[in-house]
Amino acid sequence: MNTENTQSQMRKGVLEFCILSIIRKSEVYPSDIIEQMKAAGLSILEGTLYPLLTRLKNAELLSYRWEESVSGPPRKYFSLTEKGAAFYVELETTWKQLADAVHLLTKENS
Amino acid sequence: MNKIININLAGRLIPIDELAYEQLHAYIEWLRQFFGREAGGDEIVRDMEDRIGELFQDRIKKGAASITQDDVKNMISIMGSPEQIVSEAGEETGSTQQQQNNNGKSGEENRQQSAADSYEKPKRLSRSEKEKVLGGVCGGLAAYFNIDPAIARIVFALISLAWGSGVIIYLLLWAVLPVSDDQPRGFRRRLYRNPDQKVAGGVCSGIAAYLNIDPVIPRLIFIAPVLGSVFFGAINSDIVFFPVLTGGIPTFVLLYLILWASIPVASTVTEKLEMRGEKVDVQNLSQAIKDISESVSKAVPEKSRSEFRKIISVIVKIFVFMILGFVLIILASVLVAVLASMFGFAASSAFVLPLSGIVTDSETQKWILWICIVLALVIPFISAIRMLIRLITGRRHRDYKWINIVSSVLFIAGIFGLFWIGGAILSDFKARYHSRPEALVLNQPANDTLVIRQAILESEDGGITEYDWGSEDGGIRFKDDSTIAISNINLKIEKSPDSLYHMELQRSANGKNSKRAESLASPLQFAYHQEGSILYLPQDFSIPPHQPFRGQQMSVTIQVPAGKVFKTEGLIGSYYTQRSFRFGRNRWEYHTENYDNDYEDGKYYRMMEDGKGSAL
Repeated sequence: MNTENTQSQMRKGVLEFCILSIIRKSEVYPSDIIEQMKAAGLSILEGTLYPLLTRLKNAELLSYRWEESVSGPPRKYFSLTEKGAAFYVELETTWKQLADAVHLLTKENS
Repeated sequence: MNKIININLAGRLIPIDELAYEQLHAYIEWLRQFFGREAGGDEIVRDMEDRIGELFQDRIKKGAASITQDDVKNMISIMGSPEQIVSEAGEETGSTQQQQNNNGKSGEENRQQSAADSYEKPKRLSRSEKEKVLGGVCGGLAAYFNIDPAIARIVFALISLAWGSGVIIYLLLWAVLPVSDDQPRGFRRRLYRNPDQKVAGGVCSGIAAYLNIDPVIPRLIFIAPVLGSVFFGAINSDIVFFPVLTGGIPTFVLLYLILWASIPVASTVTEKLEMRGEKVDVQNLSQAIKDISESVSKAVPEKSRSEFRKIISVIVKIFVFMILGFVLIILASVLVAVLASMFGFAASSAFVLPLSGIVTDSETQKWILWICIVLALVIPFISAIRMLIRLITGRRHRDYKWINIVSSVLFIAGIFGLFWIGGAILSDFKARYHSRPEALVLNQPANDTLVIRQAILESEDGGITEYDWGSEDGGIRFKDDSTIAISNINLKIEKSPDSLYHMELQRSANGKNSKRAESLASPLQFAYHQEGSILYLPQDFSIPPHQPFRGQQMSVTIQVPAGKVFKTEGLIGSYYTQRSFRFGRNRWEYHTENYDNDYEDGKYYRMMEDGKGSAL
């Protein structure tokens, strides 16, 4: 069991949650997601983001529309579907419970 | 110095260094392979390509002249290297699969997953659903033995040459083996031509990479017959091996050429990995990408080092191309022979006098006819070879659409032309003309005995080539470039109305009208001669130059008075054959009828009152 592996496992779980939360705020373009996450201190590879977005879209949690851009071809802008919004709420509850529990447990150590 | 190429990346025009392009290509190729396994994989790759294009365009906008290797490296660090993507996504795909399984939507990925697991599972021989041309037997065998399906197919083709046993084995296996739609298990070597280590076509080094041996070994095997025949030729050519070796040269050359034509070249990084049987995975791909840049940077000093190898490679190339030319000439003459036999008698002249005018009316018609024949025969021949190659390799070569279109159009034009000319020729047989019987001079033989003997062909002076076709029955003889002789002569022996021997000749021919038929029939010469009581009949008659064959015929009637004696000697079969050509509405007939040859060769007969001869 190496640290790296555990770390990436931990990150992975929250990644979807974070992405959904960014998209929930406003319609975004993938690079925006990267930037916002980077700003929050959570870096993500684009090579991981795109597959994730496609999978979420295929699971009908996200939808997208094409928007013309000034430079180059049109871009995909993602937004949450109703199903996605419900999914997000569920995740949020889970996260809150989890965060509280983790917080409670780790507090004693620190 | 670096070559810069322009690429279209997701709708953006990007100038990029050639080396950087190699890396980019390998990377995207890998992405395609990695994400291709899951549903929506195409879309993922498209999106990523789009993003890569955007990143590059930013670079260009910021003033970069072109995308360099550093830019590609940069891009990969943003998008994630293969290792990173795998480690981040590994679990991800796993979980979605779990989901999909639960939903009962098990599909491609599920199979993919189990294929990855199935390394441990015992292999079962089965027919492959994926790699199939006919029944998937070869694909299944290839999966079982972990070889390229092309190899299995070639082996089957070779076994089939042995009295078709391969076909039977194939059918048996087809019937016996169960179908499996397993994905090709893990990785598998594929046979490619190796462009990096080639002397002529890279076939040998490709085989070497496939078998994981040194390229020198297959090269030596291919060159062995040449070396062997040179060696034994130098010592003693009577050695038993010698014919084996000389026979081996064309065989091996042909084999090499076939492999050259049918095996694709390993041009992308992925293909090169497949060629070496290295699993197309993250480490290998990254390694291969590194190798490319290294090999290119190393390439310059290497070139100067291997001056000797370069010379050898040039010599080998010249040699190969010379043999290639030789083989092509042989193939061409074989083709001509095939054409010839298909076109019957006219074309048997093809070797001696190509495009003889025996069938066609005019020069133009002749040329059109030959062009049409070539088109109508060669095009399907070539298409068949292309199809065979595609079947054997099981790989789809790039479709040359325009070749297909052009060849189809030419083929149809050829067929059309054949019907057109054929119709014109056939209609030239419509009318039949018979001349009035003409009495020929015949001296009365001594002792009341006439010997009718076949004139022996005089060999003409001047070393003119004579070509005999169907010498038994007579047929067609090519006297020189413009003259053709035909043995379409028949003989009847009748009772003379008086007490003298007589000989009569009737000329006939066909034509589009009786006038033309007459013009073809009248110039015919009957070259007989008589020596005392021996009458020599010619084997054939010449058709005048620039006249085609239109059923020209000579009928000879020899009248023998009752009570007198005659004998035939060595007359060829055509003297007893009545050939007729008829062409009517919707009807074309070539009719031969044998007379009752009542008179045995070399026997004396006496003409009786009833018009029949009786043996003495």
